[in-house]
Amino acid sequence: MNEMPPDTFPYLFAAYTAIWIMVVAYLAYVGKKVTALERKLSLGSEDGSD
Amino acid sequence: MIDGHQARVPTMRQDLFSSRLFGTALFLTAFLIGVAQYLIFLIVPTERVMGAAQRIFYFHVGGAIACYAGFFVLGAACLWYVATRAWQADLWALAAGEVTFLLCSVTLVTGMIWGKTAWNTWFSWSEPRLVTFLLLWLILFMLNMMRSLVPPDRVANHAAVVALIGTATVPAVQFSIHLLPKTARLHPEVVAYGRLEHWSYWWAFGISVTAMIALAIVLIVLRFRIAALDRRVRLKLTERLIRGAG
Repeated sequence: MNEMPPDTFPYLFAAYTAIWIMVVAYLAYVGKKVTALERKLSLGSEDGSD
Repeated sequence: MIDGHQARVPTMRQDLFSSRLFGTALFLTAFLIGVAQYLIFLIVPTERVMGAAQRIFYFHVGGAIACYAGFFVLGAACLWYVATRAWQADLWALAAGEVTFLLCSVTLVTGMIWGKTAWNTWFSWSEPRLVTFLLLWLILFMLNMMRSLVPPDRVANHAAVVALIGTATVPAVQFSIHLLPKTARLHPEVVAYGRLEHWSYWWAFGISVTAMIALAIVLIVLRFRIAALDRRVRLKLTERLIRGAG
C-alpha cells in the first residue's frame, strides 16, 4: 500500500522561521549591546582621559 | 580626536572576535548548521506518518539538548559564584542564562508547532514534560528579567539562587514523562518505534545536535566577552567619577 504523508509543510516552515527569527533577534540584541559599549568607550576617549 | 575615534571602533569589534580559537569555532558552527539544514531539507526522506513536519524534530531535540548543556554551564557557574564570589563566575552565569533562555524558547516554540501537527493541540496541561518545561522557561524568564531590571552588583546573589533552582528542575523535566503510563504519553518515541530507519535520519540528528551545542558554546563565549568588556568600562567610568569628585 502506497501511503501519502499528510501535508504538514506550513508547520515545518513556521517552525524553522521561528527558530531563525529568535536566533537573529538575540544576535541583534547582542549587537545593540556592542554598539552601546562602543559609544561609551568613544565618549570616554573624547574627554582625553583614555 | 576623530582619527582616534575611528581607529577605536573597529578595534573593539575585532577584540570580541579576535582569538583564532573563537574564529574557528564560529566558522565550524556555521558550517555544521549549514550541513544540518542541507541534510534536513534535501537528503532526509519524508516520514510516513507525520509528513514534512517530522523535520522539525532535528532542531527541536537539538535545541533541547543544547538547552540542557546551557543549564549545565549555568549551574556550574552559579556554584562557582556561590563558593568564591568571583566576578567571572557571575558573568559566565549571565551569559549562560541568556543563551539557555534562547534555546529553551526555541525548544518550546518548535515543540508547540510540532505538537499542533502531531496531537492537534498547541499545549497540553496533562503532559508532565510540557508543563515542567514551561516551568523551566518561566524560571529562565524571571532570571533574565531580574538581570535586566536590577543593577549588576546587586543582582548576582539572587540570580545565582534562581539559576540553581532552574538547574535543579532539569532532571524533573527529563524524567517527568515516566509519571504517566506509556499509553497516556503524548511525546512521540520515534526512535523507539524504529521509524528512523534511513541512515540520513541519524546523520541529520547527530549533526543537528552537535550544531546546536556548538551554537550555544559560541554564543555563551561571545556574551561573556561582551559582559566582561561592559564591566571593565563601567569600572573605568566609576573610577573616573570618583576621581572627578575628589
